[in-house]
Amino acid sequence: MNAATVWLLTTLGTPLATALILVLLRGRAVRAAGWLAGAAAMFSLVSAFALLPALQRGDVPTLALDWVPAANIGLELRADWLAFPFLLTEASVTLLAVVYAWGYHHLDERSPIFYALLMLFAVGMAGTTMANSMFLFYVFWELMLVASCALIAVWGEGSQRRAVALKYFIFTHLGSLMVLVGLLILYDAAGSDSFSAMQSGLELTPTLVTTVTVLFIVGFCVKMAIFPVHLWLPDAHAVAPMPVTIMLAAAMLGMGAYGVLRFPLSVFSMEQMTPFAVPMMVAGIVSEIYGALMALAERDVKRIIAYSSVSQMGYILFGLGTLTYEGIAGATLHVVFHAIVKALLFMGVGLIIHATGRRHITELGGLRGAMPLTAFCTIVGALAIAGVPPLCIFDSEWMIFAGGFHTPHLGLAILSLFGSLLTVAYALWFVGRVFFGPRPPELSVERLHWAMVAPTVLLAGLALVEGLVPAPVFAWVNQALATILGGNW
Amino acid sequence: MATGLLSGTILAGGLAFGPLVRFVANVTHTPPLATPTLQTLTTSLPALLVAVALTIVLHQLRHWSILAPISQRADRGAWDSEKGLARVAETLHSVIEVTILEQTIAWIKRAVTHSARIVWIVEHGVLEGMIDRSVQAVIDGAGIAHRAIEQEGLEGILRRAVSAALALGRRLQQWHTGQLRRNLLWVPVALALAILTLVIAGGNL
Repeated sequence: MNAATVWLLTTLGTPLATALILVLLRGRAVRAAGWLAGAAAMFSLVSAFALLPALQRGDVPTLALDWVPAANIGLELRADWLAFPFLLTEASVTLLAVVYAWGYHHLDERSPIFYALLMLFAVGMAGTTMANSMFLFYVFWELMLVASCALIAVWGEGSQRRAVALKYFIFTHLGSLMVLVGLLILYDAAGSDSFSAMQSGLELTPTLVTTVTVLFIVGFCVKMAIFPVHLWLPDAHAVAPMPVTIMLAAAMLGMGAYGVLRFPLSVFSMEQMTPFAVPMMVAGIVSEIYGALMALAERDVKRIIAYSSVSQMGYILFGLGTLTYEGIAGATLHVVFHAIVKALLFMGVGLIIHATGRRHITELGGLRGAMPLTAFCTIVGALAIAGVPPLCIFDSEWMIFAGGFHTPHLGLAILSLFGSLLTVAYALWFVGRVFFGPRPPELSVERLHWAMVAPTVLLAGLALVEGLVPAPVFAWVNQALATILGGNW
Repeated sequence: MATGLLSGTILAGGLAFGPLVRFVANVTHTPPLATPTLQTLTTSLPALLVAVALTIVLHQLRHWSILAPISQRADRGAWDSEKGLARVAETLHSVIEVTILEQTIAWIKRAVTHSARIVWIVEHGVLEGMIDRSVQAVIDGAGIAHRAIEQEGLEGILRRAVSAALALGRRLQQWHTGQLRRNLLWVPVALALAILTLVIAGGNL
């Protein structure tokens, strides 16, 4: 076992061990729960970063264990260039969400379980990106769902939280079942559940290729909340406690994109994927425009940002559907940059709700004087989501649209730009309505906890820095695409 | 005289530079400038001659009116050409400058003013109105889509699916509760169905 393998284990093992410790300690670890979770998240992030030198040397840290040798089912972890950007995004978002939770979450005897579930949620996401076997992939995939569902059901806001958690579970599980069927077909064809066996070539009839691809794309689109299978998202995001919402929106949605990259795009060739290009692009455009329209129609500030996620995932699906280098690179970059900006927006919204006690946009207004730092950070987030340069999302959107214009479907590429127009509309309307104009006389503003403000400011800075210096992230994404596009394409 | 001298100088200079221009054109492979043809000369020459003549005449008139004292000018009452020419000049002034030029300027001003009004109407009435109506249509469309597609359409499908599932569950629950012998009846029925399925499936295999 070399150093890279150790880092691989600690990335996953630290939050898992912390979750177990918190569950075991329970009531005795109330005050320390947040700190323990924060330390675990920090260590997990450092471990993820520590994988970079090995990847740059050309190594691929792997850990394999034969679990059911008779059935060729093994437990394999692997960190390649495709997993790395997603792993880093998940680890960063988890750390920021945990720090945010220090200020957001009120400590009680259930707090250790709250932080333990946050850690399990993080383990689910990290394990999904690092799994190199179908069995392990699916276990971690469902762990994400179970942990987040429990968090919504117990700590969600409002009397409808259990119903929302159930709806979220059923909806997302239906998507997971479709993914499972796809995985089982691939397992049957490959004779092994290892991804490496899958990528070395599969003998599948065209009908099976179509069936598997449809199952994967639809199943992963449920996780990405693409129209019309997005219905779980607005309720789940609106009801979940804010740290969970941040992890759901910024990191978990990206796992759907990771699934599309890891499975149909890495397993099948370009010729096999070409029939799905236009449907994916059309679904992406519809989601883009529909999500933006819903954001314009909503009045709950959390739901406005939630529908924005539906729209942004549409961009990603469109980029993936172009089946071009620029489109796929842009989509992958967009996952990373969207994580930064969406976490920023939800943190800003969380600060507004926490300070004013209000969620309805008609009850807010003129807050920039009372909350200048929050206003600045949220405006940066809104401008970023609108694709304004030099903020980060402009770079990824440029690549996505360039990918669109590289396809023969110019009409679709032009249509995709309309989503951008609507994004500007709802983003600027949102900040204008909340921070400018007359302030309602009875609107009071409470003081905010530093743990909620600090990550918000950090993300605002990161949105600018990543926009000005996207080269490092782009280099990682470029390497990831060599894994996908250099294989069967 | 001066005009004539000036014109002659320019012509001579142009003629002298002719060979140089042709050399440069050959070296750079650019087509030489079109030399004035007889046609252009015949159309432009009369105008040039008239302009030169008018210049000379006006200069002479001015010269004579400056040099000669008023009394002498008065003595020249017999010389009608000067008054006539002055009257011609005045007429030309009133025709060209007052009638044509100033009227043209007034017409241009009216056109600009009216155009500005038209542009204002197009911008505020038509374009801004179109933008306002488009924005309102998008917002209204978003509201309609939210109500019709999201809440009544998709969520409605979900609500109906959940209601159907719950109704089926309640119906099955009704069948399975009640008298014990009725519930026990399901056991041999289920067994019979299972055996039948195995027989049919075994036969197909």
